[in-house]
Amino acid sequence: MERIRNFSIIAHIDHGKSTIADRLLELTGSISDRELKAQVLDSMDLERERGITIKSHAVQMTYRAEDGETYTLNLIDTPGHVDFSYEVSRSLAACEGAILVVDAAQGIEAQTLSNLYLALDADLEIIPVLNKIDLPGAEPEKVRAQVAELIGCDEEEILLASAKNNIGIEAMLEAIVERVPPPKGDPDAPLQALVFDSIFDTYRGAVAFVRVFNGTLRQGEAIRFFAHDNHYDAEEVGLLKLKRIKTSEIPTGSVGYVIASIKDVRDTKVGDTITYRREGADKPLPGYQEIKPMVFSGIYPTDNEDFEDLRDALEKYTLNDASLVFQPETSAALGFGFRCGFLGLLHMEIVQERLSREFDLDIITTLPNVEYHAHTKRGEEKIVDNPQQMPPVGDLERVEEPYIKAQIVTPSEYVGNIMKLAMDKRGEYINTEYIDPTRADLHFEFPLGEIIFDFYDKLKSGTRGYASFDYEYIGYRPSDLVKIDILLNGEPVDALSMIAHRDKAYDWGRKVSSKLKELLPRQMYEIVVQAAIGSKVISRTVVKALRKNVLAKCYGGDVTRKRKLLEKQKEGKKRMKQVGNVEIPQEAFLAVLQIED
Amino acid sequence: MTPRYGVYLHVPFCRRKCGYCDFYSATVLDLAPAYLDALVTEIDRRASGGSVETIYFGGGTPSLLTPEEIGRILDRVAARFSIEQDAEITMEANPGALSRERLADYRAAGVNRLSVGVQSFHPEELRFLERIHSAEEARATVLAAAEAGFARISVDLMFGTPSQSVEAHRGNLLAALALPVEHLSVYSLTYEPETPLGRALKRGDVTPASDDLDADLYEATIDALAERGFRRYETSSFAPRGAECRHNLRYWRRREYYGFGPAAHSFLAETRRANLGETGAYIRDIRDGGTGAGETERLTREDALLETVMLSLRAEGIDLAAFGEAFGEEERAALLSRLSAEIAEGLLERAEGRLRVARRGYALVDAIVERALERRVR
Repeated sequence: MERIRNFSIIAHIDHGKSTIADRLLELTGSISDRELKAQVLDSMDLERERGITIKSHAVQMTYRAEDGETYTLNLIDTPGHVDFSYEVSRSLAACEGAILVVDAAQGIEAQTLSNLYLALDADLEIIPVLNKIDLPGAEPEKVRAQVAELIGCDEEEILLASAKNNIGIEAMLEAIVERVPPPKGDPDAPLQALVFDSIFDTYRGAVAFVRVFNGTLRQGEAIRFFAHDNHYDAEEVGLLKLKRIKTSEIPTGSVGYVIASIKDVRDTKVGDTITYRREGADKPLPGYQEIKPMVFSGIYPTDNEDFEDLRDALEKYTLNDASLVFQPETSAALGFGFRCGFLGLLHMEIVQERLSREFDLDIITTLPNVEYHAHTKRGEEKIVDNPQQMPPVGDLERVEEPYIKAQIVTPSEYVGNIMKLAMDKRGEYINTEYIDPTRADLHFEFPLGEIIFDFYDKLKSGTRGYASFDYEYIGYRPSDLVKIDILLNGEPVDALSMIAHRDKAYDWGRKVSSKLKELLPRQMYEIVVQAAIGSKVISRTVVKALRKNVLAKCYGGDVTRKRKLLEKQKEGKKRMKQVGNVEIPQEAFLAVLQIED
Repeated sequence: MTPRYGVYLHVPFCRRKCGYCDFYSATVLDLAPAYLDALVTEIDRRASGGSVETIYFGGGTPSLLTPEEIGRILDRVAARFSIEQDAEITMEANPGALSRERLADYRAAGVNRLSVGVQSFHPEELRFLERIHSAEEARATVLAAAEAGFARISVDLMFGTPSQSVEAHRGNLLAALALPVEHLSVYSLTYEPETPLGRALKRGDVTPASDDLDADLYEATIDALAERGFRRYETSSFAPRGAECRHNLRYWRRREYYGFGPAAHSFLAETRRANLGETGAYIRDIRDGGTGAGETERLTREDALLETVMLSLRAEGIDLAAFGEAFGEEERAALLSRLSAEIAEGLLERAEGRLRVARRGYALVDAIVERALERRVR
């Protein structure tokens, strides 16, 4: 145990976490050049493309240090986005130390801070590293001072590196050995192994990645999880190198995997604790939380005939990502689809993109919304994750919405823009801390519902892309919220309903109805487009009736030509959705998603 | 019972090609003799006997053929089919260079109905359409035809040329009605992509009439002609009852017809056939022992249903009893239920056992047809 080091690498997006991981693997001989596909830890295409790690994995290295001893280093990778902050916290809980990577040109960003706070919460030894020091724009001195100030360490403790050019990697390994404490734990105590991640293996079922805190996890023993009552046998345990390496046991302080014919990844929940069925621990390791989706949206197949394909795709998807929840729902406008719950915005985007990319599905998504708590006058509390479920205005006593605490790091010249954006988004200003005279760290509280729209894009455009943003949930608060319905010839288009603050409802209603007026093709009848709160119409526009749609000629008995034309039009129409007698093109639903708040 | 047919004969020659036209034609007449030989050979090879109710010479400009040549073709049709006593025999003609004598010769050769491609009586509009005749020549041709013994004369008009007003179009209609005509074909100018005009539109060199103006022009047509007893019996066809073009009615009613000549279309035994489109290729194929056939498509039941709806709604409406018989009661009920909103809104009406487009729906036939053919689950 004295020669085990468990650590993570934490960083803001693009500061070089994955490249550093690659170099550590190379230098310790854990991977050959040939095996080295750039950024090994990010195995999904999408992750590589976005430069973020979505699912955490772990890998074991062996390192012979300058003191002549050989150490086992377990690198536990963490997801890099706030949507996954709980998962990050569980990965960090499996470690004793963390390498905090800061881009020497970019300096401290919002996720640098949020990840650092998570690491400090987990009592980790922090090894600060400035990466990309040889980039033309690098300002190592300035950023070093920022980081020293932030952590409260000496500037000499901060390592300088350029992972791309293999500078400073060995020093990092030495620092891990010297500064990160070895794991503590009682080999004779009852087994407590923390599940920090899991994946689904088509042949073996769920594979849980664990860190053993107390006792030893032995192959063949009867095990149980604290989060549910299912019992399993630890059929196979082992270490995590680039591949899984079977062993007979995972000793105290070590990291490894366990396979136990677990059919569903939902039974290997991140943060759960494994113990033995006989003579097991009497309580789990602290920190477990049931993950709850925070953002919801309907996902519908463009073609109703693809409903079963969509279900299959969602089921396959959740084999590996138990945090996505979905259940069938029906929309009068869109037909049969699913209401899906996501951890956050990024998670939603990833799911949507992977559904279309990996499963080749053509889907329509509805406006995202958060989960509201509607309190009725009769004293009931109703959970509303779809605007349709909102009780009528007359029955409502109050509605509560989730709030977040947001941290925005920005060059100081953009503070004004951010203040304005925050005001537009119903933000409550808390305070500003200056990282140095040119960089501000602003704190706000926002309704989450405001953030899931175009907040991120607006933040980027208002700060020329320099601001970074991170948030955490803080709870529910009452707000003056209303449901806005969009009606076409008096028929509500359920998929376009939305819950918004009363002050913004009129503006929203007007924008949606004018967008629809633009996109609805003229049809045989006049289309009245209305936005309404309850029975009160707040906006009204009209799409005039189509006046002429007939081909003048039917060419000298050439009926085929006209029939083909008609068939082509029919094919195009198949993609239209219908509410009452009004046909709505796909673009209308997509365009509403693009409307700026 | 003897089978009855219509016969369409395509004459693929024009003096000059109009900018809007995408019918097949060539401006050189060198091929005319070879074409004639090929045409009569095609008739010989394909004709199956039976009687012929209507004959239609279309083009192109059939009046570029001499009365003797027209006579030769008709003789061959008569030799291979039996032309009915009161058969309707139409020839399309363009104004200009048609003397009363020559017209009388066509009449003598057997042609009994003339369709004159006037298009407009306004010099500017004629120029835009690249017509080579003047308004005066158009009037003269129609009058000469009447004098030559044509009791059945139809005139083609076009509306929707850029900057044409409703008044100007009404002027065209009245000018046509002042002539001895019993039938008008009134078309909205269509910008076909593969024509000089279509390309000009794509380049942005012409501004088409707005949809609203186009609709106004069409409504004005229907109203002005109705006042004079010319009933709209098909989207673009107007005539007093009894003066309808029987040949074209065969198209809307899905009655069988032979199409001879390059690019001609036939409908026989639920099969649609298009002849080779290019005159040279057509002639070579006939010389090589073929019949000039291009694409042939045997229609499925679904195709037939689609055609029935599409064609009937343009003209006299869907005969509901016949529809039920042909496609089943279930289809009939489904059709009516899909169109219930249009019936309720007065775009369609049920009368005389038919479901037909009402006055309010005349301009929306294609949209109604689309609705009628939807198979989508709601």
